[in-house]
Amino acid sequence: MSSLKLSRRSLFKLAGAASLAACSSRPARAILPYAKQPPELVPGIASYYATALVEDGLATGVIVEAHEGRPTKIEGNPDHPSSGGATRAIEQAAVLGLYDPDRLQEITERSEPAPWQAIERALAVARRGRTHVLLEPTSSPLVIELIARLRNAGMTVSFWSPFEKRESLAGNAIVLGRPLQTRVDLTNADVIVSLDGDLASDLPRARQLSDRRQVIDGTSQIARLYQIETCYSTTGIIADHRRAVQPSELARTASALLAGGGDDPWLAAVARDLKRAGTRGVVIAGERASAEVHALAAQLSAGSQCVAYCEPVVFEAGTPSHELPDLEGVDTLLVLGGNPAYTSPAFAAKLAAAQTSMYLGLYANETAQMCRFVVPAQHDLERWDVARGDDGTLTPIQPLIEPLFGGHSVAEMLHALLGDRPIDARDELAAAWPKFAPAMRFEAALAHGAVPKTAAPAIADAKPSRVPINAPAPVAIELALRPHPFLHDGRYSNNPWLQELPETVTKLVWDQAAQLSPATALAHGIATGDVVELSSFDRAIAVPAIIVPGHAEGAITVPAGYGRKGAERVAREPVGANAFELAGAREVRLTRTDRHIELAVEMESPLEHHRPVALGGTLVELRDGKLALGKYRDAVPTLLTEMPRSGPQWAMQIDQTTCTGCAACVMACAAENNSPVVGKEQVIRGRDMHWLRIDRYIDDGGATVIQPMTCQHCEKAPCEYVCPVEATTHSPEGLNEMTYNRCVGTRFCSNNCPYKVRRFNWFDFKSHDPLRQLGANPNVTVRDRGVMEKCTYCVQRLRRAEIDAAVEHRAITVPKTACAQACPTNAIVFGRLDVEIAEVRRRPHSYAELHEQGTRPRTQYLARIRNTNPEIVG
Amino acid sequence: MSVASAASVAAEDAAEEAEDPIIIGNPTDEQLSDQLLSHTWRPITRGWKLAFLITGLGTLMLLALITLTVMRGIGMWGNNIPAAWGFGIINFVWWIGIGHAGTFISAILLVLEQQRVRTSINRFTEGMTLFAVVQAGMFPLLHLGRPWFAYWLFPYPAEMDTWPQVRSALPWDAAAVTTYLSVSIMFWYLGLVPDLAGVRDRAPTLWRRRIYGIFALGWSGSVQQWRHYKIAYLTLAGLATPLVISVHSIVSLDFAEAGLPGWHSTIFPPFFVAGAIFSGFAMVVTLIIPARRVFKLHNVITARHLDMIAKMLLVTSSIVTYSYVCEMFLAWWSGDRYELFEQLRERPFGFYAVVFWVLISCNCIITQALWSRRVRRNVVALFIIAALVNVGMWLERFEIIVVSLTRDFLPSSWHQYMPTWVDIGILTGTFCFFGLLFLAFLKWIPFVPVSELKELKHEELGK
Amino acid sequence: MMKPALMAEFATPHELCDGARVLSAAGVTRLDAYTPYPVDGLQELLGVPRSYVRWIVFAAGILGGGLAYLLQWWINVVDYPLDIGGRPYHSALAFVPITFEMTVLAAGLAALISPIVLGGLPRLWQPVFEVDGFERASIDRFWLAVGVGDRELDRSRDSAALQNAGALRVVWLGGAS
Repeated sequence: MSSLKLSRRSLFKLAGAASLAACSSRPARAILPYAKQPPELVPGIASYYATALVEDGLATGVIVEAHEGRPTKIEGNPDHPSSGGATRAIEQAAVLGLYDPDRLQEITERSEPAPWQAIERALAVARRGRTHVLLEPTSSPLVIELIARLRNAGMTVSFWSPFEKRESLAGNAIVLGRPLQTRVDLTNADVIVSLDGDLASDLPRARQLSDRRQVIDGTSQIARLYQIETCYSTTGIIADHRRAVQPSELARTASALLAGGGDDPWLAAVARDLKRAGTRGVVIAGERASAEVHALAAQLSAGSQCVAYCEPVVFEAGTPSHELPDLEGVDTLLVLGGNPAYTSPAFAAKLAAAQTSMYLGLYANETAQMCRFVVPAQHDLERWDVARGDDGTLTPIQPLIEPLFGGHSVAEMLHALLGDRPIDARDELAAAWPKFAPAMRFEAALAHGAVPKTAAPAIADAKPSRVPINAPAPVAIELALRPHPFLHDGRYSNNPWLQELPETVTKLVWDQAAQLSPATALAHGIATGDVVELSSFDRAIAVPAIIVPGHAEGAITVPAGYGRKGAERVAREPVGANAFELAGAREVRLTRTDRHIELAVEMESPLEHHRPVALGGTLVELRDGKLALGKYRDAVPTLLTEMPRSGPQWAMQIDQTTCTGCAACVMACAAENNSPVVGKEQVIRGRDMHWLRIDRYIDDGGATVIQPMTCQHCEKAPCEYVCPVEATTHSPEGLNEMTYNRCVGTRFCSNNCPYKVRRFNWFDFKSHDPLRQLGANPNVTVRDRGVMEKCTYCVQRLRRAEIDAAVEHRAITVPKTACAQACPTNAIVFGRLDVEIAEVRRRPHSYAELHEQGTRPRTQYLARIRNTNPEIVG
Repeated sequence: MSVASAASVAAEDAAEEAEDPIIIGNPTDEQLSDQLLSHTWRPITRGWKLAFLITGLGTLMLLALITLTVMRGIGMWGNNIPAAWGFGIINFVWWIGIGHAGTFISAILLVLEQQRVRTSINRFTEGMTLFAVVQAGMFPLLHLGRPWFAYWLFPYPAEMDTWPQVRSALPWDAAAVTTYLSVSIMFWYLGLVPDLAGVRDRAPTLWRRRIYGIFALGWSGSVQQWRHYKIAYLTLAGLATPLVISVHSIVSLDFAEAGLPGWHSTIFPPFFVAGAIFSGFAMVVTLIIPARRVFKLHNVITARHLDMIAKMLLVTSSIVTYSYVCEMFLAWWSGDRYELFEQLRERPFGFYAVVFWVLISCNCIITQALWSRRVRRNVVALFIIAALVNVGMWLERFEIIVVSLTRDFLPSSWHQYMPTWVDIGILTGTFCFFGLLFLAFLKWIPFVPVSELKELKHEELGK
Repeated sequence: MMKPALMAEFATPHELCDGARVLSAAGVTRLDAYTPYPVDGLQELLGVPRSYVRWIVFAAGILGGGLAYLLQWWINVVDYPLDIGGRPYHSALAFVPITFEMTVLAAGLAALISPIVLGGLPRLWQPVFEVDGFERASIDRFWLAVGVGDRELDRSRDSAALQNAGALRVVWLGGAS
């Protein structure tokens, strides 16, 4: 991480942000703390504020932890329906995006610093000419009002984001007559057939699914999940049955399902299962599936109680205004957010031809580099705004901090374009609030983070028609262009946390890799790391390949977000190409080049080597007592005596049945515990610093199984007795504690850890960037070089809870560890061994990892239980 | 080996015993003294200067790389998680193993009253021990994440009332290596005192007489001195004998104490001791053959000495081979899936298989040539075999440390280990530093125990 | 350290022993000898008792080992007991290696220091060094000495006796009767 070049001006701003003088770091106007927190700021005590992070116009409600005016940690807002208290990895990493030294820091005209007046002058000219405004999709009522005024003033407005909801709306338009938004509710689902669906990263659906798949014992009635997809996804990982198909095969599969499965016994069994489930069966399609698949899914789900339709939440979604404009005759182009020059190479050429162009954004990205005027935008944590959640819930957005680099908002730009007098953003929002949400006061909404009962109403008469849908024909090698699970369309590519977060299925960090199945790779003579050229007519990109067992044959998946050519230093680092060059192509030609790249894959061996590692079985086996997990749980003979214990006995249980491997916990852990980023070379050397990792194995049947792995807090910890200096010891509460200051760095503890969950500071890994340091959690020691570190069960949260309980003379409120709090599926349960954990640990599929080693781990697992369809063999 | 061949070897040995003198010719005591002491005052020749220059430059490189490691961090080495130990600990174990032969030859043979074989080479091997232990001793320090806190491994009344954690094998190791180094120095020095007095009395220049005189402590060889000296020296030898066994046993506990497959084994202490003596003897051969030629010591370090060492190599090679077989057998017998995978799958056929086969060739197969008396008496062949054994034993430690670490319980944590240029530079640097110390020793210290040799000659003639 | 009255130089240990035998037969008791290496039987001949160094070494070893064990016990049980991997505070087996090593270290130190101190060292200058030719005592000459004040020493008789026994040289240093 290179350090920020500080000018005198920005240094003062940073000092303000960092600030010991707390009042100067907070926005000048009062923002309201979440729920029952005291309004005043107590040094050393964190404050929590509800706000939201917006992606493609849709808000995810979050609660931001702030220390002395600095946002340091983001959690989900339990009161917001799009979060339910959970987050994705992307939200967890947003703090680092705020403190990004590569963010645009001043207004420029042709790369020269310019005053705001220059922008105002340019906009005054634009007001009189033919002006087009290109926005990111929006659901903000404030912005929507301004758009109406723009159009009245004769300006044109359109919206663009490459991966916004488009196919689903188009598919619904086929069968419902208009582009309605599908709303899925899995609360009562029994059988779920997912056509390339990405349920697991859709937070509310993930939570519903996990609630429907809680295995108490063998008699539990849990939902059955089928996943038919191209590239292995987190949904594919948790599915009971999975099938890999070419993207175009999805539509044919759906057609076959509609016809009762046809002569395919697997599909026929699925169809029968779906039929048996009646209204509790549902077929869902993922956003990357084609419109035909969505139409077929809607037809298959007709009559299901799990599916309803509503008007799209995003403004004008599914209409032509969500296509890129051709800019014919436009004098001035305003690009307010997004990065169309990267996400649409075809548009980049048109943009370059624009007479006057202006860009509002966070980074000096590809689009900014092509625009004459560049205005720094405000980060979500720096601005006043309002947006809607995926279900339409109205969500106020309040800033946690004064804009670090004096950014501007979309609304501010539109006001300036309309020639309005400058207006304070909070005043504007407060004034307009009764219009948006008459039922809830502005202050109350800010404190709550969401306005209840503002979800878009279901449209009762939306019944899918049985129009015939034509499925496309198969091709030799079909391209699947996908958003990267963490970098999305490249907008998060400059976030080193997300770059270094291993993708769950490939375990790849930092670099782009095109995924393909072992057989397809063999047929083309391709090995992992070989650079392949993908071409379609005159367009071609070269990317390294990675072989992924379980990937569909005859298909290649290329994640977006790489090949960035902007000025962002982190985003430019990975090897890769811009996948959008091939946007729209279905069939590609695949050729191996002579180049080979060493990919930073965090797990060397994908196999379990017949070891009892990530245990699992079927629900029937569990019911019939065939799972025999007793030997992985029952007491082992020992010579050692019990040690004295006092206080709450902390423990953790991780449910492998509901864990999707979305990696939100990994990111949450890194954010909470100040984990450093080490870079690609160090990852290749085997020196990644995540305290929590998602182990991924490919079992004998070729299926991917995962197991979150972190310090097991063994009662008879092997690491402790080999430490020569008492740097790692056991607490009376059962925590395996690490005393950083005492560590001399022999690393014997790591050698003797059977789980290899300890991490070592091989170099001075911590960030020395003053801006980055603002995001550090002050309650967690930043580790120096030469010391060992590992999961602490978020001991800082435990101590806080204990202190609060002691101060208030009450029983302890059991805190959540960062991983458990972030988990969208509640797969991680943390609590006291004899209270919260006792019940889960009694379940028949509870087991301890490497139990026979006699380590007696406090963290234990619930085995992966598949609710297999008895009609499907294998 | 068959009974017949054993018998023939024994018979051959008996024949040699009779025919081979321990000292060739019959030099007077004065001639012997001058031959074995005069190198300390003779001027440094060009060849020596060149040798000092090369090893000195290598030592400087070592210092530079150590500085780099301490300044930038231990990440300059190739270590990672899971292979948190790598070259550093391999070098440590290897060098300390080398150190074993010295004390073994010197102390155990003294205790066993095997003066005939011992004298002539014991000082030489003791020197080798010391300098090898100096190399070895650097690594436990250097490999620490924070080497400047290494003293925390020793008990002292600390401000925070913290103490070393003595259940760990590392403080044992610290105690063992410190004791070994101290006792080796004591043993070496005590044995040296009468010879230092000899140089004091024989050296041509005043300042040499003074320097050696200080270290000779005023030794006059009176009966009063000899009577305590003899007993103390023998007692020290008696103490050093179990120490030789204990040091590598404790070093082996650094591994055996852990639960790691490939480490967690009860045979480790004897296995390591045998390996240590094996590599130590090999190093003695590698050093003594050139030294013998340079100093023209064929009359005191005779073919008989080399032959004895070669047999010792054969014996220890057999023990080591037996240990390898034992490890594999125990893995199979225990039925432990992790151990089985480690011993029977990963080591011989895994990523580092080439290491396994080279080490088996060097340590078990090539040494079989030593059954032949012609090979044992062939200086060149012996030198090559010994050098290969040194390589093999280094690789054995690589195998034990790296292959075990990189293939532990959970396949998810497996990760390859590759050394960096700094690792290789430091290993090379220790050879140079060792060479520098050894050259200085050969040049300025009586490296054949003259007084003992004279005593031996006197006894031999007196028979 | 004895101040010698008589020094006799011999070429071989046999002759030295002969000389010593002659003198002790004459009743001379303050005998000492300087030899390049220990000469078998000479000690008994001169009536020097067997060295007690080994007992010092033994005591030092016991003391070192005992203290080492005691320290480990005290650290872990009394001063700062900690839960280390669920192992008992008094982990006796784990205390053995250090106890052993400290035994050897203490004993070794005793074995180094005691012969030096008991041999009157370090003492860089001694009266005998002044005797001409004594520097060969560390190389190939064997010296017999008689301390000042031995009543039985007779200058004329003993010179002849020693020369008969094979002495190359007999040096009288004065102080003899």
